[in-house]
Amino acid sequence: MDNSYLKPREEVVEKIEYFIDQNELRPNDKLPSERQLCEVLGTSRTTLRSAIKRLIIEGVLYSKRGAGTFVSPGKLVQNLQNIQSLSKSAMEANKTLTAKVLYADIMECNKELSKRMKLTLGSKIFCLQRLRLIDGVPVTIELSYIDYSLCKGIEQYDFSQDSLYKVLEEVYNVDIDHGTESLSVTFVSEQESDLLEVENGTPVFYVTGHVYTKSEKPIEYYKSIKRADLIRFSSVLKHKH
Amino acid sequence: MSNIDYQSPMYLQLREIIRTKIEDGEFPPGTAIPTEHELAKTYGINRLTVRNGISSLVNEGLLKRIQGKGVFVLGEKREHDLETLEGFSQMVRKKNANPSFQILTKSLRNAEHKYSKIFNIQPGEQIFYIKRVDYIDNEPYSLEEIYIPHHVVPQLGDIDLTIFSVYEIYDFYNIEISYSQQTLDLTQLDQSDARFLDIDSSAPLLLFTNTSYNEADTVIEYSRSYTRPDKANYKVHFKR
Repeated sequence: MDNSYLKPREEVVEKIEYFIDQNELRPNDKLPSERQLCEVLGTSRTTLRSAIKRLIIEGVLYSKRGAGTFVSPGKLVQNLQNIQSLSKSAMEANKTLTAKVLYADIMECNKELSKRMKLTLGSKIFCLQRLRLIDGVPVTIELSYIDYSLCKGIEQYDFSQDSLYKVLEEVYNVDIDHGTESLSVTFVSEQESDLLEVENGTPVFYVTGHVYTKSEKPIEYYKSIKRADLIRFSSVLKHKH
Repeated sequence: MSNIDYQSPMYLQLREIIRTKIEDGEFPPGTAIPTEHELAKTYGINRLTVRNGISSLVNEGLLKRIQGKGVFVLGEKREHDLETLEGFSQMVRKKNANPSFQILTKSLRNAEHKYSKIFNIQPGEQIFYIKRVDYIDNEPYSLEEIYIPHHVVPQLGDIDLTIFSVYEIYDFYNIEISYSQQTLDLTQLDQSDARFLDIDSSAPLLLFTNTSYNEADTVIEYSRSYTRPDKANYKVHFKR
């Protein structure tokens, strides 16, 4: 067994992370110049550059041409194990979550939706599409389909101001209890790239899910895409008994 | 993922038509979907548009293009959950598939600052570093980097990790992982590492970072797993 294994680049990657930690660098703080860093970390410029490149890919650093290398603002951590934590986690992180309504209307269930919502073809569905922004930066496009029989008149609310779940719970007494969510990766289309202000084809999280009442009646089916450079998911794994 | 209607770009409309047909079983796994030419004719759109629609589903792992043969529907992606604590082998066997590993590195190194902080040990203390490729049914699935303090399981150095999984070894030595904190990011690998997964360095990968604790809340393992997103969906249950 090799006893001293640590590639020079990995070593420098760890040293830079430690440097940020040790010097309590904050988001958007600038890193010292390459020359200074080489001296402090005791490394060559080639290795340093390769380490910085890795940390940019990992989302720890970002670089601005001509201005240098900076510490990335931390991603917003979204807990997968409880509902609607985006606004909650935004609040906890002292960030402001806003919404822009892209589409809101009542539509009829097509085949796909009727299957997902367990409703007959043609049943009424409230469809809401929102762009959500954190401190003014677009992070996610969310598309919700809600069983309209649970919330007649909901289209009158302005969901750029009101919380969807709050209206459902407080106005319509809908018992939002639990859900399942499925997570994968997709690539943004041109239209989506304009809204999220990222390049066409950027990989993003693709999340779909169902929300149910305590008695397993479907309330909502949703799809969303989320910018992976701004959002990180978290969960706690435990033994299944 | 936007709400698809008649005003949406044609390739997106086509993408959703095909997706629905796959979900409804009209295009079953293992069969070819109609040719580009046929799809173009059926929907009255041009072939380039058809190709764009298909490409996005190929990238998502729903379809597979086979040179000279056509475009085939892949079986449903494996579903893995994001709440059960178990080793890779255990998880794969549960799905009636066959796990295997290729060990790229297994070594001892100094914890240095980063890992001394994670494990709450001295920078000069030794930790195991394991880098391996995980396969499911002989297809590369993820590249893993695992860090374990030497004192947790000093015997690890003498054990062949292609025969026993890390979790099996924990079992042998009565090391109990009580829970693990996991985060999920999207990232990429350098070319030199991407090739182990049979992908391009520009391909997005799911990065699972796990910090695993024992009953006494001591960190006993830290790992990063770069996972191909086209091989599985991840499921989680949530509560209000």
